[in-house]
Order: sequence, then structure tokens, then C-alpha cells
Amino acid sequence: MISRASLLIAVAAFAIAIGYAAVADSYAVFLIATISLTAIACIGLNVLLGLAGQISLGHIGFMAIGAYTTVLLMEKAGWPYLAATAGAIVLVSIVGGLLALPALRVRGPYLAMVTIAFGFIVEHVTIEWRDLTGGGNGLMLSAPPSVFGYALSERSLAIAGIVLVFAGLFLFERLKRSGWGYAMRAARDTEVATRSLGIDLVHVRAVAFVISAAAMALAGALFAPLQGYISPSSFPFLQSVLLLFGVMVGGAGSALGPVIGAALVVLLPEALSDLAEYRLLAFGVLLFVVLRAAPSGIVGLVEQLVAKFRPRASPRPGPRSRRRMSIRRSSKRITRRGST
Amino acid sequence: MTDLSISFGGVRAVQGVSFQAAPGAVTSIIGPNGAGKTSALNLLCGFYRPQGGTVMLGDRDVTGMTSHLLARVGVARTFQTTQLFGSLTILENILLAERVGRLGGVVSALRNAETEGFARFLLRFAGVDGDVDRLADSLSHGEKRLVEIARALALRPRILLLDEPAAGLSKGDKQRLTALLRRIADLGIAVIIVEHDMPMIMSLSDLIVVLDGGKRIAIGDATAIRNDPAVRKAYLGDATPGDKSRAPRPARQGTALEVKALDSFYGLSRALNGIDLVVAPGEAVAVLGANGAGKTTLMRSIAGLEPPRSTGEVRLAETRIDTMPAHVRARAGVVLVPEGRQVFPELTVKQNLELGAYARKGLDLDAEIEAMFVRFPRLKERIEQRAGLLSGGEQQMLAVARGLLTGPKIFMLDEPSLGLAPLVVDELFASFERLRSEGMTIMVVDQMAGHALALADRAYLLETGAILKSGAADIIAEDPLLEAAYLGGEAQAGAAQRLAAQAR
Repeated sequence: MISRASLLIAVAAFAIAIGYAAVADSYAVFLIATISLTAIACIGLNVLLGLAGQISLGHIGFMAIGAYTTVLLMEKAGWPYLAATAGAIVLVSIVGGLLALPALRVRGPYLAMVTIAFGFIVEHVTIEWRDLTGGGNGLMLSAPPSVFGYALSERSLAIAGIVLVFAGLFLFERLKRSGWGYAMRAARDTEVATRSLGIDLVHVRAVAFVISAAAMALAGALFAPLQGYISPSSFPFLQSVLLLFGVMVGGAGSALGPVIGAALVVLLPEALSDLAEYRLLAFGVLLFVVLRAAPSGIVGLVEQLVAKFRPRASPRPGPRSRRRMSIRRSSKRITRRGST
Repeated sequence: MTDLSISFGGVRAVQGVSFQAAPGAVTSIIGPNGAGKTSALNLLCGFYRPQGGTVMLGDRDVTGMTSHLLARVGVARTFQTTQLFGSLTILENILLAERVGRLGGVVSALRNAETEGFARFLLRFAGVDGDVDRLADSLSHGEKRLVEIARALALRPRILLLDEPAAGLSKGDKQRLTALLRRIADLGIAVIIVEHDMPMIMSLSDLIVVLDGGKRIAIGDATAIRNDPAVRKAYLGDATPGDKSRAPRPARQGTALEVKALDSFYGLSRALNGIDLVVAPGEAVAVLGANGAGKTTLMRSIAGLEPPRSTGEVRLAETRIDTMPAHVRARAGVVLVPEGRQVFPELTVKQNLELGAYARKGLDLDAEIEAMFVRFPRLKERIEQRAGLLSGGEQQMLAVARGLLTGPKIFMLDEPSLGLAPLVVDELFASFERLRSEGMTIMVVDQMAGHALALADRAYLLETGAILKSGAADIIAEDPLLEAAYLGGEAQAGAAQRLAAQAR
């Protein structure tokens, strides 16, 4: 279903990203790795928000559990990095499935409250369970993780991150076009009709929850070795909001949107570092402007512009504008929810 | 379906209803508003759990199965307001249904050549032309209906339930729909329809089940139903006009309300078409017509409520009000007592009444409310009770009293008798009669045509959004068109069209 042209562009972008990561200085490498793991988290959140139309303000909790599990399995149980990562993903998927049970009984603002509560619970467990988590002092990774005997440098983490982002994009596109992806979007449009087609809504939404939680765990497993140190303050509530912000600004429902959003979320604070404590203010204003000017996110805006300058390219609503529509719908819903 | 029952908070919506729908036959469930048709349908397709009775699909007991499981064993449905997945294309809508809940792997594509061929075949079968990659949101109302039926068929059902499939369709669309439903039944599927469009029901159905007040009052084929006295009574009411001595009326001059060339739309579908209507001061006017004829839409358009979106001219006395928002019209004296009563359930009776007078300044509120208690003594006993706890009849009285406190110059009542027991209806209409004799200008819409005509001086008969006939209430009451509009019938409907053509 993915056209040849977009495949070509994807391969080219991949090569450029890998090439740049191979030669960039250490600061740029660190930024690339951070953007990659944020993008993975945003792609996961996009499954929940962009496809299933559900909102979560506690997703950073999954990332925290993922990061803590990875570090604990490596430091305390002596697992190799890859096995620890897999363990973290499995554990977080289970937690995600368990959270989905109560969370999916409620919707709109109540779902947001349940997920916020989840985020706070995770944060306080990491603070209070000192024996396991080191409390406020956090956990230190004693040595850089190694894969098959090679110690992972920051540069190799960045490259691995890029590979995973592209894999994530590919999987997201496939999920979006699978029966599950369509069922998620259908349930967002009308629940009763979805049920009347024999589709079990609870299953569909729980799957969306689990997939997005697993992606957060992977991001957490990349985060820990990149920082070398994790503590409760590495996963503040604000970060959940920023991830949502990334997905919405980039364009919820589109594959590429969360990646662009993730880049913004990481790079803007760096670019605005002169503003110090006014950074958040600038962020808020930007969110306002983007939602006002481009309710379908940056990807949607670009597609609108492309459609404007090439009106004859697609005389009928093709897949391109179809995607734009779905994005606009979901982001409209989100803004409505956000305002309640 | 045997002895099926359900009640909601004391209202017994469906009581011991039984019938059998045969494969290859069209079974229709009809009845006046509030008869329990939609509740019966929701019981059949698993949205409600019955409190008594059984539903059998072939030899299998499917009572109380949830809707998605029912869909998997072969019960498909469509909805009163079409429920397509608007952000998916037509084809994707069908393809998703074709899976019957088995969604496959999380990364394996939904679309494949074989099922796509099947989906295209279904769309052609349902009569959907054109590009199947259009978004479902972009379709016209009629097309949406057909796609929804095709989507239901993609489940390869044994039973197809349709909730008011003809609502909002044009005549041509209705004919195509009727033919399509017949073709579906010919495939050996049991088709069950809840519908108001009598001509369609009468021509299409093999079996008709008539509900009223949640009970089955008649069952049989079209001819038997049309001649059944219980059915006539349920639809037309039994109060005959002109049988009570009328209070002397003040001379009626001038106009209290004038509507000119009013068109109304719900989205793209047209609900009203060039309505012209005049109400004189102190006059009582009934607006009659089958369900879906546009009666409620007309009242909402006059009151300025949205939806619908309407164009045309509405004047209250000499003032043009069609550009005013609803709350300004209410202050100007256009007061609507809406269908379903809409009292504020969490507030007490007294607070409800006080809110009715909210916009009126310099009013002796206590005296006004006291006057309402004289009119409706039952409300006085309930003064501090929460309105949500009142009975249906009391809520209707409260809604009327609240409307009166708003200071109406024209008082519009939408289906005041809906879901009420006959005695309560009589009591209500007696109070309307008192209002009329006091000189209130009244416009009433009611499913009980007999009651509405007994109250009214003049009546307008609506069909598919246009005025079919108007005249003095007692003349309209005798008109065969009235019966045709409510009960259908080929010959009569034909006569109606001819008459309407002559009238224009």
C-alpha cells in the first residue's frame, strides 16, 4: 500500500539520518538520540490518540516503568541489555493492559483523569519504594550497555534509535491499514455501529493501549542508557503533556506527524534556552498558534499547501486528503476534550 | 421473539411482545410515537437486555447476547440516523464489516483483492454508484443509507434489522429502497423494519406487527392491519372533533404568526419545503402528519432552535423574527413546549417554574406561580420535589406551566400526549381547551390526531415536509387524506398526490 515514491523518500531520509548521526558531533548525536526516543514514544501515543481517539495524560508513567525495569534487570539481575529491554516491554504491556481495563470504562475528561492518576502513582512509587528504585536519588547505570559484546556508545544508541523510528513508522502504517487499525478509527467515528459489526470495542481499545504502552517502554529502555542515570524527576507529569503536544502539533493520525512533533519538543527547548523559565510560556503560545492555524497539525498543514499548489494532482479525494481529514477530525476532538 | 419485555424506570416500554420473522420475508414493526418500536428493535439487536422473554435465532437462544456477539451469529442492523465511519472510505466501511469482528493480525492489511471484489459487488447490489474511495462523510443522505445497508449485508447476516430506513429520503430514493429491501428478502434473509412511512410499509411487508404503549395490538398482513379498528384508534385517537360545546371565541383578526416560504435542512437533507402558514391571534392550529412529515421541524424552525438550518420568513405579529436567535424569540413570546417535555430533572418543580419566568422583568412571580397551581393542582402537591421524579403526565404539566410563565404570544406544543396514559391525555387537553378559551394562541402537533383536531380551529396536514392540505379542523378531520397520511394505502396516497398537484 505504501507507494514507490514515498518508499524512495523514506530510504533516502533514512540514509541521510544514519549518515548524519555517524559524523555529527557529540551534542548533535545526543539530540538525535533524544529525538529518536521521543519520536518512538510519540508514535506509540499516536496509536492511542490518532487512531483510537483516546487521550492519555499519564503515558510518561509507562516510560518510567520501562526505564526502571531495564536498569533494574541489568544492575540487579545481571540481564544483558537486549533481554532487559524485552523484559521491560513485556512488563509494561501487561501494565498497559491492566490499566486499559478501568481506563476504557470511562471516556473524555474522565479518561484523562484516570491516566493522570496512573502517572502520579508511578511517580510516587518510584520516589517511595527506596529499596528498589533508590527513591529520589534515582538509579545509576554502572557501565554502558553492550549488545553482543559491543559497548553501546551514544552514537550507536542514536543510530539504533533512528532504525527503530523508521521501523516504528513502518509498523504504524501497517497497523493503520490492518483490520485493527480500521476498527480503532471506526470506533472513534461511531461506537454503536462498530459494535454492530461484531467488533469487540474493549479488545480494540485495549490493544491500542497496550501497543502505545509498549512503545513507551522501548523509549524508556533507550532513555536510561543514553542518560546513564534515571530518577523520578526524569519523568515529570509535564513530559506526558509534551508528548501529547508533539503528537498534536505534528499531526495526530498521520505516520510522520509524531516524528516532526518529537523533533519540535526536543529542539525547541534547546533553541529557546535563552528564555530560561519563559520557555514554557513560549511553548504554550506555540501550541495555541499551531492549533489555531493548523488544526490538523504540521503534516496536515503541509498537505493542504501541497494540495493547494497542485490542485490537479489529485482531482478526487485520494489517500492523501483522506488522511488529512482523519487527522483534522481527531485533533478537533482532542481540542474539544482539552478544553473541558 | 416471545413475550419480550423491558421497562425503564417504571415505564414499561415493551410488554410481552411476540412475533416470528420468517427468512425471505419482510416483517414490519409499526406503531405511533412512543409505542416501543425502537425499544423492541434494541432488544433484538442486543443493545438492551430483556427483563423477560426469549429471542430465538433459528433453534438458538440468543436472548441477552451483547450486540457484537449477535452480529457474529448473523444479526445485522442499520440505524435511524445513519452511522457510517465518516473518516473511512465507502469501501473501507464495507471491508471492515466483512471481517465480522475477526480483525486478523495487527500488521496484516485489511484490504485484499478478494474481499474488495466482494465489497464492490455488495455496493453495486445496494445501488451505490461512483467512486468507492470517497469518504463516507462526503456522501448524500440517500447514499449513506445504501452504503449502511451494504455494510450490514457484508456481515452475511441471517437477520437484517432496519431502523426507519426511509426517514429523510425523497420519493425516488424510497422506491429504490423498497425494491432493494425486497431483493434482500429474496436472498433468504429475514428483513425486519421499524418504519413510519405507511405507503412503503403497506406495499413491502409480508407481516406487520403493530405496537402501542409497548403492547402488541395487532399482527397480520397489510390489508388486515389497515382495516383493524384497534390500529385506527391507536393512530388517530378516538376523540372526535365537534362533540363538545365550544367556548365562544373572540373575533380573530390580524395575524399572530406568519410563516412564508420556509425551507429547513438537517445537514444536506431537506426536511421542510416551502411552508406557508398563518395563525390568527387567539386561534388554535393543529399541525398533522405522519412521523417524519416535518411537524417537529416546523416548530423548531419557528422557535429558532438548531438544527434544523432554515431559510424563509417568520413574523410574530408585525415583527420579523427569523433572524433572531432562539432565546430572543422566546423572550419575544414564541414559546415551545418541546417533545419529550425537557423539564430540568435535578431542579424542583418550583425552580423549574421560576426558570420559566427567568427572562420576564417586573413580574409578581409568586402570584404567577400560584396561578399555575390553580391550573394544574397536581403540581402544587409536588412543589418541592425534583422534577425528574415526577410521572410523565406531571412532567408534561410542568413543562406546559413553565412555558406559560415565559409569557407566550404564541404557544407551541410538540407531542404533548407522547407516552402518556389516555386519562392523563384527556386531562392535559382539557387544560389546553381552557387556555384556548382564555384567548391564548396555540399551535399543537400531536400523534393523536383526534385530540389535536378536537382542540384546534384549523389544521394543516403535512407530508414529506410540505403542506398537503389546510382548512377548518372539522373538515380536515373528515378528509380521507388524513387517514391516508397516517395509515398509508396505495390508492389513497395516489389520490393525495393528485389533490396536492391540483392545489398547487
